[in-house]
Amino acid sequence: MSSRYQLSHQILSETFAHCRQCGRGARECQVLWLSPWSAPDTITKIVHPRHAANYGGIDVDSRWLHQFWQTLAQEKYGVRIQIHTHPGEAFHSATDDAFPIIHAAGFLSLVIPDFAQGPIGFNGAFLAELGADGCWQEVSVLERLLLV
Amino acid sequence: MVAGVASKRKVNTVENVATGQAEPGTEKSLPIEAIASEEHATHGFKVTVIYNGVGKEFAVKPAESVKQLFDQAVMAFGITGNVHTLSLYNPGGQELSDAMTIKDAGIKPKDELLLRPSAVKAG
Repeated sequence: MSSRYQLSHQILSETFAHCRQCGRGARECQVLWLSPWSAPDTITKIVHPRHAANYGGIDVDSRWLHQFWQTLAQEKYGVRIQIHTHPGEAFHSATDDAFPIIHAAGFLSLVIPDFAQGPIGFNGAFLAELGADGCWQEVSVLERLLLV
Repeated sequence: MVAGVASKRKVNTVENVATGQAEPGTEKSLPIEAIASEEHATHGFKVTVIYNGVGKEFAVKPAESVKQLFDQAVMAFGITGNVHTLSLYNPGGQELSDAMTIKDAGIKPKDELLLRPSAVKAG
C-alpha cells in the first residue's frame, strides 16, 4: 500500500459522476479506485461495482465480486481505495468498518457527503485507513491523496 | 518420484512400455495420470490463492483442512481486519467450507482459488 496516491482530476470527476448518476441524490453508491501492481501509487482506473443500494447503505453483488476478483488477477490490478457516499455527513460507520472490499493494512476508504451532490472535491469528505491492528482510523485526505 | 512409485507397484511408465520392458500383464494397470494423482495424494501439491489481483502459491496436502490453507493465505497477504468475513472460493464461485479437507473440497493441483470477502457493504 502506498503512503500517498496520485490521481487525476478526471478520476475524481468521474467518481462524482458515477455516484450522482447511480444514487440520484437518494441512495448511497460505491466506486473503487484501482492501480496496476506495476505502478501502485497512481490511480488509473475507476470501477463501479454492481450493487444494491438504499438511502442508508449499499451491498455489493457477490457474483459480480467473484468475477471482479478474477479480472483483477488477469489484469494485474489492485483495489487501493474504496469510495462511497453518505446522505449527509461523511464518517466511517460500523458497517463500513466491518465489510470493506480489502482487509489489508494501509487500505483506504473515502466517504463523500451529501450523496456527492456538492462541489467536486474533498470538502467534507472523510478518509479512513485500515491499520495493522485491524482497526480503522481517520487520516488526512491531503496527506494521502494527491490530485495531479 | 513417479518412477519410484512405479517400480514399487510394478506399474508401467511411459519409458518401460516404449522400450518393451513392461511387466507382463500390467500394461494397462495404471495410466501415468493416475500415478501422478497418487503422488499428489501422498505428498501434496501446489495451489494458487488470489487476493486483490495478486496470486501466491501454497503447498497443500489432501488431508489438511481448508482452514489451514485459509490461515496461511491470510497471513501471507497481510490481512488484518475482520478475517471472519473472508473465505476461499473455487474458480466456479463456490465457497469452500473451513472444516472440509483439501481433498473433500475438490481442490486439485494448480487450482486457482480466490480469497475474497463474502460480503462487501457500506452504510
